[in-house]
Amino acid sequence: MRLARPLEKLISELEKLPGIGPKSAQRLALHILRQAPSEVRELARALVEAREKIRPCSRCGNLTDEDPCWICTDIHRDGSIICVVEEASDVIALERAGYKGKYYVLNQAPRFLESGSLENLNIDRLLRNVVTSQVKEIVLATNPTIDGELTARYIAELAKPVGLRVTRLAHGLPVGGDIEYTDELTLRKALEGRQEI
Amino acid sequence: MKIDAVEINNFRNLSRVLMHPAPGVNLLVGKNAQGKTNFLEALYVLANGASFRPARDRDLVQVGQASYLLRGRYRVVEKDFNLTVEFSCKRGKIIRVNDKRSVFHRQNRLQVLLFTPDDLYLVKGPPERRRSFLDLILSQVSAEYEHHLNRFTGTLSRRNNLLKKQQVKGKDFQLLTDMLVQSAVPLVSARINLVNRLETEVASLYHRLTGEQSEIKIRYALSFSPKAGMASAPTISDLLRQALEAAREQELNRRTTLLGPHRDDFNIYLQGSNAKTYGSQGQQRSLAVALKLATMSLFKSLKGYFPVFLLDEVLAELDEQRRRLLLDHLCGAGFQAFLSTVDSSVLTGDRHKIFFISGGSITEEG
Ligand SMILES: [Zn+2]
Repeated sequence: MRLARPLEKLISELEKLPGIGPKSAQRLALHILRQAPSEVRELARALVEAREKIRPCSRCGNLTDEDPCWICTDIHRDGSIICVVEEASDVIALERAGYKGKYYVLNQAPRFLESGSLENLNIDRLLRNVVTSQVKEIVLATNPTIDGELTARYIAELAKPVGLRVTRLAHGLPVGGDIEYTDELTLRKALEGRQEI
Repeated sequence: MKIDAVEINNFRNLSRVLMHPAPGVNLLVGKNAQGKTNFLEALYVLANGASFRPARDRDLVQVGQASYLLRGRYRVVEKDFNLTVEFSCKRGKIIRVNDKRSVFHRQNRLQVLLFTPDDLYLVKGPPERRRSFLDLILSQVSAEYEHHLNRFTGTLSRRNNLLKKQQVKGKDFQLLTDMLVQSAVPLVSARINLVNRLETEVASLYHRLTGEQSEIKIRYALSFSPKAGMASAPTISDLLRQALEAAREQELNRRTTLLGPHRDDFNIYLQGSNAKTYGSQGQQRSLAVALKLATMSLFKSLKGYFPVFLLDEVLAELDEQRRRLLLDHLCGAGFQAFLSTVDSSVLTGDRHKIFFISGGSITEEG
């Protein structure tokens, strides 16, 4: 079957998005074609603008349109505690759970078997930030996977000599699960019950 | 746990089967390639969501059909459950317990224990067979064990990866070694515990099955210490840590983790000598049968109920006397069993049901 060239192109671009198969890509494309040109222009502009204006915060790695981000500059937040997470989506989850400290976002899920090393996680910057600020505690909120735990232990090893309290989110998190998909209550409990490692 | 109704649609060569099995022994009688093993496989898939044979779900669908549907009604601790496993090439697999979508927690799920002719090599065969025997039963009774096992396996493959690349100087290798030891401890403790409990059970079953009064000992064998399986958790941790330290050079040469629960074993001693090397074939097979039956009773004492016992062509592999003793035991054991056999005359009496399987259809005797 042959499709009009622009339609085919649209479908193939949509298909590259995560969670979108050929069928959904086709449905989305046809939906877009039915929309008013102004609406489609709005969508295109939002895509480009978000991509161009939002980048990782130079201090914490959180996704932001101003640098440093609104969390780093918020003086009402507790600057003595810093929570290390794998992805910016984990920040959203922890915010919902009512966490009031600062963050450090690794911006990459550790995949030890593929990369074969922990060296390329940007942990150095975390430690530089920590040494020059009033941070007293690091909460490790990497996912309860093997790689998440390995990363947590690695950071703990590096941070302890600096004299910081290092804690890890308490269990009760679904085993092998992702912080991002954990419900607020479980996450709040895990925060309260965090343990020294 | 007992199944009182089974329905099978479009599974392998079984187009449509409706069956009401006996609460005790069920004999599935038929020539080869008529569907006996397929029937047992259907029960296994119902319980575990996947086959014991290397097969993808679409291989399980009857040729020319687009989906299979399995239903089972079973009773456990005074409660009835309806379980369905449905697979269609289009929508994938859907498992329902009492009409609710079930994710993979095992609570209330049908539990089966499979016994195939391969298991008769449990005593004589390579160590991985005995390790997976222990892992299988422990994972079945404890989700925690399963969790530790997955963690251990994942840590092991990461550590092996570094050994393969000869990168053992870094912090990551040290951390992986720590994690390996930590996740090894609960595995080894649980296995030692299980082996010790098996000993008494196996001894009494073996005596009953063979009439021999030989003394039976079962000992867990650690790969990292000559101390035969009586160690406590802190000891296991220390022993493994030190042994790994000492084996570093060797591990670098062999590029893999040489010590740990993935290299452990257990030995069975008949009158003081290792049955693996000194036992006769008959003794080894009787011990294998006793081990399988012992698992049934251990499951019961840990979970409070028996799983359903599936025996695929095991009878044909046993001599006349052992077959009779096994059947006598099954008839009085109090659990439900399904046995496939070519010969219907193996069982007499009226405490069992006989089903004939031919060309994919099943009829009850009488
Ligand atoms: Zn920031």
